[in-house]
Amino acid sequence: MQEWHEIIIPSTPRARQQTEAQIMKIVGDRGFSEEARFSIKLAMEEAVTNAFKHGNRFDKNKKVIIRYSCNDKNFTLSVRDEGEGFDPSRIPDPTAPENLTLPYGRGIMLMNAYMDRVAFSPTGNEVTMVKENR
Amino acid sequence: MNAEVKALAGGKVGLVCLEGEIDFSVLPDMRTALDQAVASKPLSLLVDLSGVTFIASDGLGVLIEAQRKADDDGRKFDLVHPQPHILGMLRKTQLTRLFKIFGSVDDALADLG
Repeated sequence: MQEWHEIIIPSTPRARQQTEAQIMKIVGDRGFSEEARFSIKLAMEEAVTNAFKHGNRFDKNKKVIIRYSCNDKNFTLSVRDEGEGFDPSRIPDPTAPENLTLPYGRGIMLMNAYMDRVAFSPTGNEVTMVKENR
Repeated sequence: MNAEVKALAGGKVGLVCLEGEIDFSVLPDMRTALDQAVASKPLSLLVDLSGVTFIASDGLGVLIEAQRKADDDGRKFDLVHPQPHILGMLRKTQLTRLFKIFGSVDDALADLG
């Protein structure tokens, strides 16, 4: 049975840095590979940035709820914001020729590329991702 | 993150050396360094990524913005020696179609002729 941890942070840079560092230390202590650690760090950065920027719109009074579970085999991360949510299927493909020069729009694509499983809640304001420790 | 801006080849080439982790918190500093290099109007601008250990999508976006500014001004904008994880990101996002990537600053300078 997986043990879950929950951290609720305000939409501030300091709070996110401390939380991300705390989680990455746990992942490192569990012996995750360098590739897996890079993937988790990237996916977490993208998910929390989306929660701050698009979900909570940098409102410091709004919270981001981060839940994670880590064992020797896999790491699961869930990031939820207080925004209205969105439909991830409507995000344009950032690798399409007409989108390649846009300086935004790659976060979800990178989460999908680097994590083994990615799922959004029906409301779209929560993403859950899994990375296997290979 | 550290950012250092240098002039090479008698000022014809601007070199921005970025080091460390490029996350959301350092984007203003990154943007400032790149803007400074673009504003000096070199014929070509190189961004040395050999010291960058992490970059998120917004950091890639800042590189794209800088390239667009350089391109609007008729100047080249190339990347130098990204570490394997960063090169992998550039490939997965297909930004290797947008950026020319050199193995070293010397290789980039040689390409300029």
